[in-house]
Amino acid sequence: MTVGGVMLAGALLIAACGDSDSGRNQPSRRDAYTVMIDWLLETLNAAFGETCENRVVFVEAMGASDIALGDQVDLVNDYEDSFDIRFIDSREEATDDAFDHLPVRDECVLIGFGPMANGADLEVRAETYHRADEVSAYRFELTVRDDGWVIVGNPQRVDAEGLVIKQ
Amino acid sequence: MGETMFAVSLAGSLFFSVSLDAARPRIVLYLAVTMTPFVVLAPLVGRVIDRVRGGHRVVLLATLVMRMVVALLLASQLKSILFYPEAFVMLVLAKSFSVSRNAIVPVLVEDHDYLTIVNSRLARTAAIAGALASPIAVLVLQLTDAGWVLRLGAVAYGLGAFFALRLPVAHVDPVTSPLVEATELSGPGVRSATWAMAAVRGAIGFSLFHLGFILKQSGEPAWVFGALAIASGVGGFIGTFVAARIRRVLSRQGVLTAALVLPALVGIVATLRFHRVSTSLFAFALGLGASVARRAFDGVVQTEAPHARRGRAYAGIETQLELAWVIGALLAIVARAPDWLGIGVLTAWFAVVALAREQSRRAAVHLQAEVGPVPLPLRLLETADALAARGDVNQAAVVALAAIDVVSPNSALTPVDDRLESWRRCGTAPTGADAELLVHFAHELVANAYSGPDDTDGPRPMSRR
Repeated sequence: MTVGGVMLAGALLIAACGDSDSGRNQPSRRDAYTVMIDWLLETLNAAFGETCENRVVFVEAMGASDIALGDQVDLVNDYEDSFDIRFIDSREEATDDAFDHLPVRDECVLIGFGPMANGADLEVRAETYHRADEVSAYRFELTVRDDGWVIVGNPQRVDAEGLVIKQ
Repeated sequence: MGETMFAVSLAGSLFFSVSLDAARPRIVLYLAVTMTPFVVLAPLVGRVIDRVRGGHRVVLLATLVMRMVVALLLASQLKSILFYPEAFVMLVLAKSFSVSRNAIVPVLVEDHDYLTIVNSRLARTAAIAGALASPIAVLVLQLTDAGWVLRLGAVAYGLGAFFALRLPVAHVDPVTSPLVEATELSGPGVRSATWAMAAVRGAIGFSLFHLGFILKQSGEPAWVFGALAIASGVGGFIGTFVAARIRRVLSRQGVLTAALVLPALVGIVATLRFHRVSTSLFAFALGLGASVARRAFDGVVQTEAPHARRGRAYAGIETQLELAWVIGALLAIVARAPDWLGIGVLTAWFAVVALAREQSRRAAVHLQAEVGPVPLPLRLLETADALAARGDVNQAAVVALAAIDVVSPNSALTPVDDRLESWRRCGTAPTGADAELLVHFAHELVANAYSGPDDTDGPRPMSRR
């Protein structure tokens, strides 16, 4: 059991080291995702009068981006009381092919995040998907203020790319 | 029941919330890291069972108590990063329990002929308990959350630990040599059956992770996982009855081969048309095949290793089987095969193993038809050689003496060494260097007795004295 304990401790240590952020002077990436998710869901609520309360919000890392496992776990726990966050590997996980226009499962939203460029500020593309013909895309600029990420101005609307499904 | 609770609780775990691509390196890491000590420690389980008084109770009690503790820990960490290592510790403990239980049953069953029946009863009881626990677990999940399902599972493990304390005293035949057990268990029949069983266990490990990943990635709801688990459980339950019926028309080894054919056939359908129904059918066939294979495997061991009663002997085999499960699981995680391809690979795997077994059986039948049945002295010599190879020359000498008695009951074959004659008269086998010499004599006598018609030189002289 001692050998097992030592090996397990080693694995946990390795796993923990793998999650450390390279820039410790910045707030965590998880905070940046939280700010953007809140903004996107508020916008969704304002536009359609819909909330994702007690539903599933699907999140996809678009293009070459990836969202660290530690950030995923933190976000799942952060929103646990409001809704389920599910990080997906394939679009089929979030869309329901039993219907035309491939609506998102559970009638909430699929959010896609592009890569986060390293630097003092962040520039991130984010897209929301309801169904194949309802995709919105934004470019977020984030900066650090009072030890947390804030959105600079209003996110700019751009052409959707990452979550576009060609039917 | 505890295992069912654990499986149902996974529906509310991190597994369904985070990206599998992000989690995959950790899953591989934790699987490897937790299984490494298992591979080292599992064979020791048998020694504890054999050497420590009441060791079988200690081992079962330990695995159940540890599962109870980890279930309680996991209950509050289903959505934490600690979910993965704790879930794999649960998995390892389940494997350890499986090894312990399968090693203990032959020790506790006084009449070895009942081993298959007892194992069938155990499998049925487990299936019924799982079936009863499923609706309770789902209800608790709906009313509360996955954590409470696990806490209920911890209660089940606690009850199991209590019952483990009430196990009867083991009856181990102290006369049987461990080497005789080991030799019997490494015979060709048991070895071939172990390979087939390992193939099945490997396929189960592969399919569990492959189907888990595929269903998650295709956005299937959690109840589909439950449906697959139920299909597999029903297959396993039916298998405990079907095995005896198939046995009426096929040999034990034949039943084992047939158990591989069924998932291969259903796998073809699931490969060509991969959807919920075909996948459920495949899970059913896999459960049925595994159950039938297990019954046949027990039967082979019971027949071909009648003296194998010690936990140590069984723990070795069971560890190999669990290791096959781990290799299958690792392959599924690393390969990331598309849905149909994974099932296709499993189908091909079952088909290849079944064909290889059938070919090997035909070759054996053909060989037997050509040379006739292997005479008893030759089989005794094989056993003597196997014992000598394992370092027990003294035991080998006893078996060699028996072989000499069969070929030359009245010293009719010549030449006969004086010392050999005295050993036979006294009825005691020699030890040390003389034992080696006796095995050598036995070889020469048996060779002389069974030399072919072309061998016209007559009995060869015994050169070593």
